[in-house]
Amino acid sequence: MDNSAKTQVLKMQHITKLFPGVRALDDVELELKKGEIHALIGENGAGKSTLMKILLGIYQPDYGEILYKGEPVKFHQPEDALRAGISMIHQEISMMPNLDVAGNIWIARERQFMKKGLLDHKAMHEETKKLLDKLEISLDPYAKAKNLSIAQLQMVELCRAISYHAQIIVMDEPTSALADAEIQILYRIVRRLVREGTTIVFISHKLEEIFEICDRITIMRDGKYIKTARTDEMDRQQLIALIAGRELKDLYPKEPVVIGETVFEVKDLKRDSVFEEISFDVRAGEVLGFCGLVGAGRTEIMRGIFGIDKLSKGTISMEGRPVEIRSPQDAIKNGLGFVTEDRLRLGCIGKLSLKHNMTLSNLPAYCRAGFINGRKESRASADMMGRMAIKAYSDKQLISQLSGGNQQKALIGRSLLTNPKVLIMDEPTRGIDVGSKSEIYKIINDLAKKGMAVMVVSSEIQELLGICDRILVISHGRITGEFDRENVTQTELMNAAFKQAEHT
Amino acid sequence: MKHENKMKFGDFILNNKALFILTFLIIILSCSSPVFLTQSNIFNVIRQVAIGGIVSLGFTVIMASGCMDLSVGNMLSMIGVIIALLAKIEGMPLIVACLIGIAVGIICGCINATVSTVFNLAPFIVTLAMSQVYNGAAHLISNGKPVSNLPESLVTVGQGYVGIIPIPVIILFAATFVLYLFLAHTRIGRHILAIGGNSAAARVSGVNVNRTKLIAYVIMGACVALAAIIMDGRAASAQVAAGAGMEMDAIAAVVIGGTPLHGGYGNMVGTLIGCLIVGVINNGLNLLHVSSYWQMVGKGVIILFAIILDSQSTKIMERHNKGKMGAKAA
Repeated sequence: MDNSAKTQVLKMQHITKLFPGVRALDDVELELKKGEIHALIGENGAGKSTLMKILLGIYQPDYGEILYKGEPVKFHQPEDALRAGISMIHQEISMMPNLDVAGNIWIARERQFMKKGLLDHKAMHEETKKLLDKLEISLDPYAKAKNLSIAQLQMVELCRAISYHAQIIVMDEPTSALADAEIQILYRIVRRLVREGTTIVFISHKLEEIFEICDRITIMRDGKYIKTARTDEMDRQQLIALIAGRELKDLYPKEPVVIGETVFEVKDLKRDSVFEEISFDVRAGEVLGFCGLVGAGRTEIMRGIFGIDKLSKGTISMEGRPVEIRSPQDAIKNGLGFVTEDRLRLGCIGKLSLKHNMTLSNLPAYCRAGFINGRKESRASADMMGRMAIKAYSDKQLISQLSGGNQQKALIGRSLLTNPKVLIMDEPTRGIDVGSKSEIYKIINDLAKKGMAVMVVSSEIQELLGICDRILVISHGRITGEFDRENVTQTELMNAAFKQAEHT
Repeated sequence: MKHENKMKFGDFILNNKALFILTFLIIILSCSSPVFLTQSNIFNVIRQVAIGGIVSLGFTVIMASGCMDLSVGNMLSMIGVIIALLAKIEGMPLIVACLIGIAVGIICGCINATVSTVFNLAPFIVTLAMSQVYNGAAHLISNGKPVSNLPESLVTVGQGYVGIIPIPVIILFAATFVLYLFLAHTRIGRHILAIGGNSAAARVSGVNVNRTKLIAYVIMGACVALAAIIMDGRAASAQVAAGAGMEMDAIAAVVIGGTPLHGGYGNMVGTLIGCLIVGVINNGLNLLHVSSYWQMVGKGVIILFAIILDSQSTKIMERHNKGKMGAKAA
């Protein structure tokens, strides 16, 4: 079917979304045609999920409008979008495990099956069977959700979307948890839906998949709309260049640093089913970057090193001596520091003050016989607050009241107070305003100058190229590349990040 | 500017609401009854609440750490019986009997903590079950009969004076002071607040979560033992069901005093005030000759009121703080 003959079913234009300190979406547009499979692609943080959340009524745009089937619409809440026929299948599928397929599909809409105040199970299951047959899915409507595989749960979700008479279905990384055979079944169902006029939006990182099944591709980068093109008019290299590429702007204050001896070394780290054969070393004054896609395993590797999760095997050495790290306490004692990517859940202790948060990892230094010396603690906290340029009117303020950037600096401060020799920073500038970002880059630079070995995990390739000396690329739990910043291009890094290692 | 000033005063009231409630009650009761504000009555009130108060202080530590202990009531009865029986032994110095009692309390705390952490069970359920164990133990040890004819020394602890101040009052205030210092000024106290605020983040920051929880439960056990000593003295006997239901009163006093149920913050002085509020209300209702059944209703109403006030004040604080942040961003 000629793509240009299809009618336009959705047009989002001039969509802008602002969060405190961040312009998540900047004048973005998206056009969907009826009956097409449309890929939405971009790096982490490009704005894809924010755009979809606006489409689904979860967020409201600050500027811009949505035209649905030619008419302007405003979705104030998810129910509005659902009722209009727009639904989404999330990466993490949530089902009621104890209900069966029919129960999950019709949840909160059982009223249409009520007869004299009682639920007519037979009618509900018959209706469900009709839906399943329509998509040629062989599932028993009475099967309990907790007994179904992820692939089957996805099909149930698809049925649910259809039962809402969805005209647009957004699928977020639908094949990330599926085996090849299941992927083919999913493709078949999707193609069937599309033949009947449904529009599918595919959010995916798998380039092969996009070329196989999608009609058109929209690329986003840094909250901006880049381009839309037909799949058959583009090749893989062009696509990667568009996803990643732009001039390396000079917002990274990387100064030359004298790099010293090897300070930290890991050999053959493995965590079953998560990562393996991870070996690398870091030297004093060196900034080592870890590049890769979400889910590649970088955070998991760092958590394993720091003792948060258990390693199946591998050795860790600090300044030449092997060390045993069984908990974060051990790691800190051995000179490691860790700044988490998950500020909210693993970083900030909301009810404690900025001061108490920062000094938490290093309390023994301010204590005598178990009692905290208030003045020593206050001095250390004030020093660090100044060093990190944390903006707050007092360090007695609750950390939950600070902005994201300042919270991040506080967490870095917490690690730095323990005087680590090796600092691991996981996504140190995620969700932070540009001003704080450059301050953090400066901090990293200063640490390197003072001889600290720094490891930075980041999903922003620009950032890694700007601040690191060397970059390791992780994909599917393995190291797929090692590059010096001098000789590498964004494209090479992206290629390594997308590379799927051969299954052993 | 004026709005800011109004909010500052509002903040102050919300942060110290227990004190305001207590002051308010004292004023009202002083006006309603001429007997209320006399030295003997005041000491009477404080002595009444001393036992529950010490349990509440320990409970403040437990709540601040984000844990729960529903076994304290029956633990109190059991330890009370043990100490009474030990104290009655010919030639047993009182101090030794008390120390053994405290050791038992510490062991109970260890059991509570260890079973929860090793088997990864909710403390709520574990301590509920242990509560029955302690209840059974109390009955077994005492054969279901109260232990009376306690030695003079033990009775003095509960009924004696140092000068004009009853001994239980001294112990209560001393315990408040010690535990306040512990929570606010020691490293372990800080760890307790950290795990109560966000135990995952605390762990990543290097806090030994399991060991800290253990310490919280051990402190609770020791407080329960201390309260048992005083109770034996006050009643001049150890009753098998003496502590039953005490955990409810303890939770009420802690919440009224401003310590939230979910952890991360502990107001020791607030708990003391919370106990006094409950004691003052009971005392006031007595002086006004209100039936004791109405007193039960009254206590429940006060707890509800305190919890509602607590949740509403959190909401108001959050809205106020959002406003502050919004103004800053502009």
